[in-house]
Amino acid sequence: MKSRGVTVWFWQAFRLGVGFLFVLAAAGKLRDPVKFMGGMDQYGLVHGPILPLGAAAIPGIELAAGLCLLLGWRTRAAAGVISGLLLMFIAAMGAAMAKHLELDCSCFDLMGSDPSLTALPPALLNAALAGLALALHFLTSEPSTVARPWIWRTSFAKLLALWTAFVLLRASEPAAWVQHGLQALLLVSGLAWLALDLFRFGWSTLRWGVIGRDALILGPLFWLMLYKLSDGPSILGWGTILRDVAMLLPALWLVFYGPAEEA
Amino acid sequence: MASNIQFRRPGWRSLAWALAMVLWGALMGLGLNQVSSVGINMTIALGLDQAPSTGSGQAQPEAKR
Repeated sequence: MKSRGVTVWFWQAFRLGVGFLFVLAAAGKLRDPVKFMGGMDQYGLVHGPILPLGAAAIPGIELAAGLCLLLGWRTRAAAGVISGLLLMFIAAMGAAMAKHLELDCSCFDLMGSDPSLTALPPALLNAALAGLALALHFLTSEPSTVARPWIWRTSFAKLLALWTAFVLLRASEPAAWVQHGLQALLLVSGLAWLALDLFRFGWSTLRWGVIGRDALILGPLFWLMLYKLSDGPSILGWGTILRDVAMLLPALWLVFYGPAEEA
Repeated sequence: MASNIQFRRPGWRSLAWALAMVLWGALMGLGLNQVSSVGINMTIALGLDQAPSTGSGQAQPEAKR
Protein backbone atom coordinates (compact mmCIF):
# COMPACT_ATOMS: atom_id res chain seq x y z
CA MET A 1 0.00 0.00 0.00
CA LYS A 2 1.49 3.31 -1.03
CA SER A 3 0.21 5.36 1.92
CA ARG A 4 1.80 2.82 4.23
CA GLY A 5 5.10 3.43 2.45
CA VAL A 6 4.72 7.17 3.08
CA THR A 7 4.25 6.57 6.83
CA VAL A 8 7.38 4.43 6.93
CA TRP A 9 9.27 7.11 5.00
CA PHE A 10 8.14 9.73 7.45
CA TRP A 11 9.07 7.60 10.39
CA GLN A 12 12.54 6.75 9.09
CA ALA A 13 13.33 10.34 8.10
CA PHE A 14 12.30 11.63 11.52
CA ARG A 15 14.09 8.83 13.33
CA LEU A 16 17.43 9.40 11.61
CA GLY A 17 17.24 13.21 11.37
CA VAL A 18 16.17 14.04 14.91
CA GLY A 19 18.19 11.16 16.36
CA PHE A 20 21.34 12.51 14.74
CA LEU A 21 20.52 16.06 15.84
CA PHE A 22 20.06 15.01 19.47
CA VAL A 23 23.26 12.97 19.52
CA LEU A 24 25.05 16.01 18.05
CA ALA A 25 23.53 18.31 20.68
CA ALA A 26 24.45 15.90 23.48
CA ALA A 27 28.02 15.52 22.19
CA GLY A 28 28.49 19.30 22.23
CA LYS A 29 27.23 19.57 25.79
CA LEU A 30 29.24 16.62 27.05
CA ARG A 31 32.36 18.14 25.51
CA ASP A 32 32.12 21.08 27.87
CA PRO A 33 29.49 20.49 30.57
CA VAL A 34 30.70 23.44 32.64
CA LYS A 35 29.97 25.80 29.75
CA PHE A 36 26.52 24.25 29.34
CA MET A 37 25.91 24.75 33.08
CA GLY A 38 26.82 28.42 32.60
CA GLY A 39 24.39 28.60 29.70
CA MET A 40 21.63 27.05 31.79
CA ASP A 41 22.37 29.49 34.60
CA GLN A 42 21.87 32.42 32.20
CA TYR A 43 18.24 31.41 31.73
CA GLY A 44 17.81 32.09 35.47
CA LEU A 45 15.19 29.37 35.86
CA VAL A 46 17.02 26.78 37.95
CA HIS A 47 19.14 27.45 41.01
CA GLY A 48 20.93 25.54 43.72
CA PRO A 49 21.80 21.86 43.45
CA ILE A 50 19.39 21.27 40.53
CA LEU A 51 21.61 23.35 38.21
CA PRO A 52 24.72 21.09 38.15
CA LEU A 53 22.61 17.93 38.33
CA GLY A 54 20.44 19.11 35.43
CA ALA A 55 23.46 20.20 33.37
CA ALA A 56 24.94 16.73 33.83
CA ALA A 57 21.71 14.80 33.30
CA ILE A 58 20.19 16.61 30.28
CA PRO A 59 22.99 15.72 27.79
CA GLY A 60 22.85 12.12 29.01
CA ILE A 61 19.10 11.93 28.44
CA GLU A 62 19.52 13.56 25.01
CA LEU A 63 22.21 11.03 24.14
CA ALA A 64 20.13 8.07 25.35
CA ALA A 65 16.99 9.13 23.44
CA GLY A 66 18.97 10.18 20.35
CA LEU A 67 20.85 6.87 20.23
CA CYS A 68 17.63 4.89 20.66
CA LEU A 69 16.12 6.79 17.71
CA LEU A 70 19.22 6.30 15.56
CA LEU A 71 19.42 2.60 16.38
CA GLY A 72 15.67 2.13 15.97
CA TRP A 73 15.26 0.58 19.40
CA ARG A 74 12.22 1.55 21.53
CA THR A 75 11.67 4.43 19.14
CA ARG A 76 8.17 5.35 20.27
CA ALA A 77 9.33 5.78 23.88
CA ALA A 78 12.35 7.75 22.63
CA ALA A 79 10.06 10.06 20.65
CA GLY A 80 8.12 10.60 23.89
CA VAL A 81 11.29 11.48 25.83
CA ILE A 82 12.35 13.88 23.05
CA SER A 83 8.89 15.49 23.07
CA GLY A 84 9.27 16.08 26.80
CA LEU A 85 12.74 17.58 26.40
CA LEU A 86 11.59 19.82 23.54
CA LEU A 87 8.56 21.01 25.54
CA MET A 88 10.91 21.89 28.41
CA PHE A 89 13.31 23.73 26.06
CA ILE A 90 10.49 25.64 24.38
CA ALA A 91 9.08 26.67 27.78
CA ALA A 92 12.54 27.76 29.01
CA MET A 93 13.27 29.74 25.83
CA GLY A 94 9.80 31.29 25.89
CA ALA A 95 10.28 32.36 29.52
CA ALA A 96 13.71 33.85 28.71
CA MET A 97 12.30 35.71 25.73
CA ALA A 98 9.44 37.03 27.84
CA LYS A 99 12.10 38.48 30.17
CA HIS A 100 13.86 40.02 27.11
CA LEU A 101 17.08 38.17 27.87
CA GLU A 102 19.64 38.23 25.08
CA LEU A 103 21.66 35.06 25.38
CA ASP A 104 23.13 32.14 23.47
CA CYS A 105 20.49 29.42 23.45
CA SER A 106 23.07 26.77 24.54
CA CYS A 107 21.36 24.28 22.26
CA PHE A 108 24.42 22.74 20.63
CA ASP A 109 27.66 24.30 21.92
CA LEU A 110 29.69 22.19 19.54
CA MET A 111 33.17 23.60 19.00
CA GLY A 112 32.26 26.86 20.65
CA SER A 113 29.20 27.61 18.57
CA ASP A 114 26.20 26.01 16.94
CA PRO A 115 27.02 23.67 14.06
CA SER A 116 26.29 26.15 11.32
CA LEU A 117 25.40 24.45 8.09
CA THR A 118 27.29 27.14 6.22
CA ALA A 119 30.40 25.23 7.27
CA LEU A 120 29.29 22.42 4.93
CA PRO A 121 30.62 22.47 1.38
CA PRO A 122 28.08 24.25 -0.86
CA ALA A 123 27.84 21.16 -3.09
CA LEU A 124 26.78 19.03 -0.13
CA LEU A 125 24.24 21.61 0.96
CA ASN A 126 22.86 21.81 -2.57
CA ALA A 127 22.63 18.03 -2.75
CA ALA A 128 20.79 17.98 0.58
CA LEU A 129 18.37 20.64 -0.65
CA ALA A 130 17.85 18.79 -3.93
CA GLY A 131 17.19 15.59 -1.97
CA LEU A 132 14.63 17.37 0.18
CA ALA A 133 12.99 18.83 -2.91
CA LEU A 134 12.80 15.40 -4.55
CA ALA A 135 11.39 13.89 -1.36
CA LEU A 136 8.86 16.72 -1.26
CA HIS A 137 7.86 16.03 -4.83
CA PHE A 138 7.37 12.28 -4.40
CA LEU A 139 5.63 12.62 -1.06
CA THR A 140 3.14 15.10 -2.48
CA SER A 141 2.44 13.01 -5.59
CA GLU A 142 0.36 10.57 -3.61
CA PRO A 143 -2.66 9.22 -5.43
CA SER A 144 -5.85 11.04 -4.59
CA THR A 145 -9.30 11.54 -6.01
CA VAL A 146 -8.16 14.64 -7.87
CA ALA A 147 -7.16 14.39 -11.53
CA ARG A 148 -3.46 13.77 -12.03
CA PRO A 149 -2.40 16.94 -13.92
CA TRP A 150 -3.74 18.98 -11.04
CA ILE A 151 -1.48 17.16 -8.58
CA TRP A 152 1.54 17.83 -10.77
CA ARG A 153 0.67 21.52 -10.92
CA THR A 154 0.29 21.92 -7.16
CA SER A 155 3.44 19.94 -6.45
CA PHE A 156 5.32 22.07 -8.92
CA ALA A 157 3.98 25.28 -7.39
CA LYS A 158 5.04 24.20 -3.92
CA LEU A 159 8.44 23.21 -5.15
CA LEU A 160 8.94 26.44 -7.04
CA ALA A 161 7.92 28.65 -4.10
CA LEU A 162 10.26 26.91 -1.67
CA TRP A 163 13.09 26.62 -4.15
CA THR A 164 12.92 30.31 -5.06
CA ALA A 165 13.04 31.27 -1.40
CA PHE A 166 16.09 29.11 -0.90
CA VAL A 167 17.99 30.29 -3.94
CA LEU A 168 17.39 33.87 -2.86
CA LEU A 169 18.49 33.15 0.68
CA ARG A 170 21.60 31.32 -0.37
CA ALA A 171 22.61 33.79 -3.04
CA SER A 172 22.68 36.86 -0.86
CA GLU A 173 23.54 38.28 2.49
CA PRO A 174 20.21 40.00 2.74
CA ALA A 175 19.22 42.92 4.92
CA ALA A 176 17.06 42.20 7.94
CA TRP A 177 13.82 43.23 6.26
CA VAL A 178 14.61 40.94 3.27
CA GLN A 179 15.35 38.04 5.63
CA HIS A 180 12.08 38.54 7.44
CA GLY A 181 10.24 38.94 4.16
CA LEU A 182 11.66 35.65 2.86
CA GLN A 183 10.88 33.89 6.12
CA ALA A 184 7.32 35.15 5.79
CA LEU A 185 7.21 33.97 2.16
CA LEU A 186 8.35 30.52 3.19
CA LEU A 187 5.80 30.42 6.01
CA VAL A 188 3.01 31.59 3.69
CA SER A 189 4.00 29.09 1.00
CA GLY A 190 4.04 26.35 3.62
CA LEU A 191 0.57 27.32 4.83
CA ALA A 192 -0.65 27.56 1.24
CA TRP A 193 0.75 24.08 0.71
CA LEU A 194 -1.21 22.83 3.70
CA ALA A 195 -4.32 24.55 2.37
CA LEU A 196 -3.83 22.94 -1.06
CA ASP A 197 -3.54 19.53 0.58
CA LEU A 198 -6.69 20.24 2.56
CA PHE A 199 -8.46 21.27 -0.61
CA ARG A 200 -7.11 18.27 -2.47
CA PHE A 201 -7.92 15.67 0.17
CA GLY A 202 -11.00 17.44 1.55
CA TRP A 203 -11.88 18.20 5.16
CA SER A 204 -13.62 14.88 5.65
CA THR A 205 -10.48 12.92 4.79
CA LEU A 206 -8.10 15.18 6.72
CA ARG A 207 -5.64 13.13 8.67
CA TRP A 208 -2.95 14.33 11.04
CA GLY A 209 -0.64 12.23 8.94
CA VAL A 210 -0.94 14.73 6.08
CA ILE A 211 -0.09 17.64 8.38
CA GLY A 212 2.66 15.64 10.04
CA ARG A 213 4.18 14.79 6.68
CA ASP A 214 4.15 18.44 5.70
CA ALA A 215 5.74 19.35 9.05
CA LEU A 216 8.45 16.80 8.36
CA ILE A 217 9.37 18.49 5.12
CA LEU A 218 8.88 22.05 6.34
CA GLY A 219 10.75 21.41 9.59
CA PRO A 220 14.16 20.62 8.05
CA LEU A 221 13.67 23.36 5.46
CA PHE A 222 13.06 25.94 8.18
CA TRP A 223 15.94 24.50 10.12
CA LEU A 224 18.33 24.78 7.17
CA MET A 225 17.17 28.31 6.49
CA LEU A 226 17.52 29.49 10.07
CA TYR A 227 21.02 28.09 10.36
CA LYS A 228 22.01 29.70 7.11
CA LEU A 229 20.92 32.98 8.62
CA SER A 230 22.62 32.55 11.98
CA ASP A 231 26.35 32.08 11.81
CA GLY A 232 28.11 31.48 15.10
CA PRO A 233 26.30 31.09 18.42
CA SER A 234 22.59 30.74 18.06
CA ILE A 235 21.07 33.72 19.81
CA LEU A 236 17.86 32.83 21.58
CA GLY A 237 14.87 33.98 19.57
CA TRP A 238 11.79 33.01 17.65
CA GLY A 239 14.02 31.04 15.27
CA THR A 240 15.29 28.70 17.99
CA ILE A 241 11.76 28.24 19.34
CA LEU A 242 10.39 27.61 15.84
CA ARG A 243 13.10 25.02 15.20
CA ASP A 244 12.16 23.14 18.36
CA VAL A 245 8.45 23.33 17.52
CA ALA A 246 9.28 21.95 14.06
CA MET A 247 10.84 18.91 15.76
CA LEU A 248 8.18 18.62 18.48
CA LEU A 249 5.25 18.26 16.07
CA PRO A 250 6.53 15.14 14.25
CA ALA A 251 7.76 13.71 17.58
CA LEU A 252 4.28 14.00 19.09
CA TRP A 253 2.74 12.69 15.90
CA LEU A 254 4.91 9.60 16.14
CA VAL A 255 4.11 9.05 19.81
CA PHE A 256 0.39 8.98 19.07
CA TYR A 257 0.15 8.00 15.41
CA GLY A 258 3.37 6.09 14.76
CA PRO A 259 3.35 2.74 12.98
CA ALA A 260 2.20 -0.10 15.23
CA GLU A 261 5.36 -2.11 14.64
CA GLU A 262 7.47 0.68 16.20
CA ALA A 263 6.11 0.17 19.73
CA MET B 1 -6.68 6.81 3.75
CA ALA B 2 -4.06 4.65 5.39
CA SER B 3 -5.41 2.30 7.99
CA ASN B 4 -2.13 2.39 9.91
CA ILE B 5 -2.40 6.15 10.52
CA GLN B 6 -4.69 6.13 13.51
CA PHE B 7 -4.58 7.32 17.08
CA ARG B 8 -3.02 4.78 19.40
CA ARG B 9 -2.72 5.70 23.06
CA PRO B 10 0.79 4.95 24.31
CA GLY B 11 0.59 2.02 26.72
CA TRP B 12 2.19 1.62 30.13
CA ARG B 13 5.02 -0.28 28.54
CA SER B 14 6.00 2.67 26.36
CA LEU B 15 5.80 4.95 29.40
CA ALA B 16 7.96 2.58 31.43
CA TRP B 17 10.54 2.46 28.66
CA ALA B 18 10.53 6.27 28.40
CA LEU B 19 11.07 6.55 32.18
CA ALA B 20 13.86 3.99 32.04
CA MET B 21 15.47 5.95 29.20
CA VAL B 22 15.36 9.17 31.26
CA LEU B 23 16.83 7.49 34.35
CA TRP B 24 19.50 5.67 32.36
CA GLY B 25 20.42 8.85 30.47
CA ALA B 26 20.58 10.93 33.65
CA LEU B 27 22.80 8.38 35.38
CA MET B 28 24.98 8.13 32.28
CA GLY B 29 25.30 11.94 32.16
CA LEU B 30 26.25 12.11 35.82
CA GLY B 31 28.68 9.23 35.42
CA LEU B 32 30.35 10.74 32.34
CA ASN B 33 30.82 13.97 34.28
CA GLN B 34 32.53 12.17 37.11
CA VAL B 35 35.03 10.36 34.89
CA SER B 36 35.71 13.34 32.61
CA SER B 37 38.46 15.79 33.43
CA VAL B 38 36.38 18.69 32.03
CA GLY B 39 33.19 17.53 33.74
CA ILE B 40 31.30 19.40 36.42
CA ASN B 41 32.88 18.71 39.78
CA MET B 42 29.77 17.73 41.70
CA THR B 43 31.54 17.92 45.05
CA ILE B 44 32.26 21.60 44.49
CA ALA B 45 29.10 22.43 42.51
CA LEU B 46 26.83 21.00 45.20
CA GLY B 47 28.86 22.66 47.97
CA LEU B 48 29.76 19.34 49.54
CA ASP B 49 33.36 20.43 49.96
CA GLN B 50 32.25 23.16 52.36
CA ALA B 51 30.67 20.78 54.85
CA PRO B 52 32.42 21.12 58.19
CA SER B 53 34.68 18.20 58.92
CA THR B 54 34.65 16.43 62.23
CA GLY B 55 37.40 16.94 64.71
CA SER B 56 38.75 20.14 63.18
CA GLY B 57 37.79 22.21 66.17
CA GLN B 58 34.84 23.87 64.38
CA ALA B 59 31.48 23.32 66.01
CA GLN B 60 29.07 21.03 64.21
CA PRO B 61 25.64 22.53 63.35
CA GLU B 62 24.02 19.77 65.42
CA ALA B 63 26.35 20.41 68.33
CA LYS B 64 25.14 24.00 68.62
CA ARG B 65 21.74 22.95 69.87
